[in-house]
Amino acid sequence: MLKNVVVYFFIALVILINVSSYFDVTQPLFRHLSTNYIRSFGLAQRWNMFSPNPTTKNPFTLIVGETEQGVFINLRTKEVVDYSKLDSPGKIPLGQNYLSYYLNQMGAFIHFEETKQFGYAFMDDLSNYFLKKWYQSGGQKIKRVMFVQVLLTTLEPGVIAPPEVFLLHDIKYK
Amino acid sequence: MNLLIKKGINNYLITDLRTLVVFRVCLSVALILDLLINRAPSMVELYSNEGVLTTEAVSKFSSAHKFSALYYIKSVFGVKLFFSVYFLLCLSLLMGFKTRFVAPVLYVFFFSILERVFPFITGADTVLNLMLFWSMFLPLSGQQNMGSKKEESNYIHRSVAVFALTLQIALIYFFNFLFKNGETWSDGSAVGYALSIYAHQSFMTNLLVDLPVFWPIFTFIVKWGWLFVSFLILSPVKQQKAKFYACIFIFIFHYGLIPFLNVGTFYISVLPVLAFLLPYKYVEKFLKYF
Repeated sequence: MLKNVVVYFFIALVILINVSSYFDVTQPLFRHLSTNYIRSFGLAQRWNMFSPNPTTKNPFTLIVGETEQGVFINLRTKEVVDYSKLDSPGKIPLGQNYLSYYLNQMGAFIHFEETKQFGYAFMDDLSNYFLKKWYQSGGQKIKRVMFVQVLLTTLEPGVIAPPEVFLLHDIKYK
Repeated sequence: MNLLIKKGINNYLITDLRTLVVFRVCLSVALILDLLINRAPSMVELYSNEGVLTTEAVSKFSSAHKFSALYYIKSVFGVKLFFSVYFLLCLSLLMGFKTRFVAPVLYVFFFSILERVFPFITGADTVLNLMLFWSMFLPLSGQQNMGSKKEESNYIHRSVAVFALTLQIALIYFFNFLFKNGETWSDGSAVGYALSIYAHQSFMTNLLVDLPVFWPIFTFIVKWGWLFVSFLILSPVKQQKAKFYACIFIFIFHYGLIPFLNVGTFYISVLPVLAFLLPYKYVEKFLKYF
């Protein structure tokens, strides 16, 4: 009996979550409930993939290290960065694919006030991690790490504009 | 008439205990595949403080919580131990060992894994999480208090949790349809735009990019297909057959999509969905081939 009551409660909650996500309910009370309780049950959901339209802005992020000799290295692929060929993030080593998904969202994180702090902290962690790997592989000293966002814009299906490049974060090392 | 309505409503609440066993097996297999493909290769990098995302960084996210056990397990050894126990729990669920205890514990573990990297939770993660959540209310061992199982009626399980999971699956597809309300979904170019997204390209994407004549057809199928599937799942009549057709559409869509569009690991998360929806008589027919 109690189990049924609990299940009915969660059914109502799931319907509420879906309806409010569709109508983009942003009232403070709902935001409070959503942040503090709904996610706590693990029931948060929003089924908006490729919606309302598939995005036309497709970013990827390069983690670029500058050596003391002024050479720019892609710290993930360990290859020299060729800024004239930025139509893809390059050949990402197997096992790092998960990061591509994370890095694609970096621009969005630092764009919004409430996630900005997280975005920069995440980039600091990424920088430390890839520098450690770089030095472990015997790489030269890096004096600067840059997070470079490359934006590929879809003009019409199958037609991509020339890449635009943005500097997201610049960390200098002594 | 009343009897028909009562029977219709009753059908939403019942399932075959053997279906729940197949569901449990598929859910465990999906969790193990998710572990092997998504989590294990980047276990240290993503979930320990020696990796790319420390707990300090995650805590700076405005809506960060401390519900994840992995906020407190920070060392590489601790994380490896956590995932080892998680793997054993998945195996226990697969074998049907103490499912009433294992399912909730596994849910806490999976939820902890997702919460540790919560700014990056994908739709595929959410589907798997929801399947695990609702499974806590179902007799996954395939047993309930009753007499002999020799009669077919003894395999019937009736509970509101069956309806809850069915509704949850239908809502996923229904809201997928509702959200697709932009102009590209109306003018038939949405699939063309989706294929142009670098991060979603798969090994045969270019083949479809070069065939724009198919974009409106696929756009129509994708959008209206999800509405059709949600109605099939909740069909008040001929429920078994309707669910069977829903399964066929879901299967063709998710697995047929793989060569053309990379939408993450939905092909894993959809396994328990198919297992739950597919009426047992069709599973039985399928099993006869082996």
